[in-house]
Amino acid sequence: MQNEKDLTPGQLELESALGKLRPSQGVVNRDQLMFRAGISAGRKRNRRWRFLTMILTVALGISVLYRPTAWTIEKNQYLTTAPQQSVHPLVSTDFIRTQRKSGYGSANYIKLRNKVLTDGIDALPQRNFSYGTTEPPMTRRELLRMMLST
Amino acid sequence: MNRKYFCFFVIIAVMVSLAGIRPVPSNTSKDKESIRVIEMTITPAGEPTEALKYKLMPSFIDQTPGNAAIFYLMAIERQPHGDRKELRDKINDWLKISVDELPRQESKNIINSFSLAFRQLDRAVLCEQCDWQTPVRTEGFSALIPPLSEFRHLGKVLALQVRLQIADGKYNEAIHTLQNGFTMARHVAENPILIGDLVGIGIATLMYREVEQFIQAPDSPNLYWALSALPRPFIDMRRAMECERDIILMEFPELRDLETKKLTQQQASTLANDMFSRLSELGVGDMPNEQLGAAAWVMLQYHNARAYLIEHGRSPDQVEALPVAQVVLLYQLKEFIHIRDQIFKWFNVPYLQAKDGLKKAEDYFNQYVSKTRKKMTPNYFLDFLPALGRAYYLMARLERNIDILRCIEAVRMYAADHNGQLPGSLDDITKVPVPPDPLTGKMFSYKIVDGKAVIESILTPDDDPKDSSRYELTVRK
Repeated sequence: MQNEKDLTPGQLELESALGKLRPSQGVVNRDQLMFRAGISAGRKRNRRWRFLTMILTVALGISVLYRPTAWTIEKNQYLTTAPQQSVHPLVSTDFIRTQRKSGYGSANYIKLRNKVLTDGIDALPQRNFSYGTTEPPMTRRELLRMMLST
Repeated sequence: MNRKYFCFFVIIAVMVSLAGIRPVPSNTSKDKESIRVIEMTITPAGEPTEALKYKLMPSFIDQTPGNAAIFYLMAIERQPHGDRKELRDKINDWLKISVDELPRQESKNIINSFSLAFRQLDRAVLCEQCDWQTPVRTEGFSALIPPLSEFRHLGKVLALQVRLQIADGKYNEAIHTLQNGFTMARHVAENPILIGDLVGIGIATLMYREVEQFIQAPDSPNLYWALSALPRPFIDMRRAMECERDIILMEFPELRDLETKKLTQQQASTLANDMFSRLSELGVGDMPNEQLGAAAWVMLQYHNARAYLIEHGRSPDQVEALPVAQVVLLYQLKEFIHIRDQIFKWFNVPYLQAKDGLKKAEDYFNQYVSKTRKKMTPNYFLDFLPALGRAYYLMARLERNIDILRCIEAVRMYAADHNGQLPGSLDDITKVPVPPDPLTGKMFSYKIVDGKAVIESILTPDDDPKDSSRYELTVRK
């Protein structure tokens, strides 16, 4: 740093004038700035919540107006297990035991039987759709004609 | 912000609760409604000149050799394509209204759509035999059974057809359709399992309700002898009971020679493990201690099992020579057979004689199960037993339904012979025997109230009032 004794009168005057200068007050106060930042962040969150609430309200209205029909869980009455084994009556019980698998089918029969005993035959599981054919069956002649023509 | 969270959760909660609402299905089978009252306006009708002219089952002369099961399955295959639920609901509603209120054209269209199926049914009912070939002896509970709910559905369509034929005054055709229905009921019950009999009873019940409609139709012929000619019991459960009695030996064939065979320790343990895990898979009853596993189950039972076998004829040395697991399985099996037979034996006597003994046996069974479960020594084989008292009651109730209709036809016969006058009591009817109520052994209750004949069965403790009927007969002028 230069020694003050070396300064020219002009420099000294400049030094004095600079010393009188004071930093100006900020346009935005720190507290105000933090406050405004907080408000802005809150507004963004609010918009998100409002949007979500609106969506949920619309969904609520739809669910009130439109009730989906109850699902009918069709229990397959065909008790399927392992592929049917034809068991010779003289076959040992060991063989029968290893070949047969009990499980869903067996439990299903017992539960179904007990339910029908208590609740009647309406407790039987029912199909909701029939896959039968509406076409009359072919006669023998029609079938023969079709097979011979191909 | 807290307010917003609160609103959000309120909305979610309301949505979840509203979405969860479903119409509560009415369980009419459990509702204790009042007794079923059927008001009938009847035309007096005497015995036909050919007394056996009308039949509710095919004649021997009309039957053909063959297996009806094939044609029944073809009938199911030939049902019309489409939404079954809507059709089912419609038919259920129509079967609740009177013949006159039936929407003729719409119901005719439905019946016509079943013409292919009915053609197969016509062939099926004439077959002398119906063998479903259910392999229950070799496959036990896992055996593939016929599609029983399909027959129940066909039964309802037949009932609708009868109703339509009655509405059109086509009595001969209605009787033919009733023949198909009653025969199908018996054929379905040819299945050697109990559930087949129950469905057969259900189908026969549908038909007997149409006979009620038939009796009320103007100038309908008298069906007393047609009803009397029905095989009795109409659905005989004894074969199904034989099957249910031994089904556990069909399911677990290893048990058949357990008493005579001496297993090694390894074999016995393997057998116990295997059976325990299969019982768990079957999920029958409540198995609160299944986590203990087979070994613990065996150890808990051994003391009782040993004492039981010694008490029932084996020496202590003989028992101790057997593996622990075999001793326990033998004990379980013998206890099961004892309790099972105490119940099943009652199927060999008529229901009226059986019902008290059956109730005592079932009470003992329930107490035994409860006691052993509390002590953590349950006999899981017992969980396979069905509610036999209920099954036997359902069979007997069908018999009562048939007999009360015979009673009504006897009244119509009397009225025809006495210028439309109703009998003062059932003793006044002498031309034909008036059957008693098979559930009580007593005559049906009969009285004249305000010019109407009121016939009803006296309720038993087993009866659900909704399933009992009171008939109020008025003679058509």
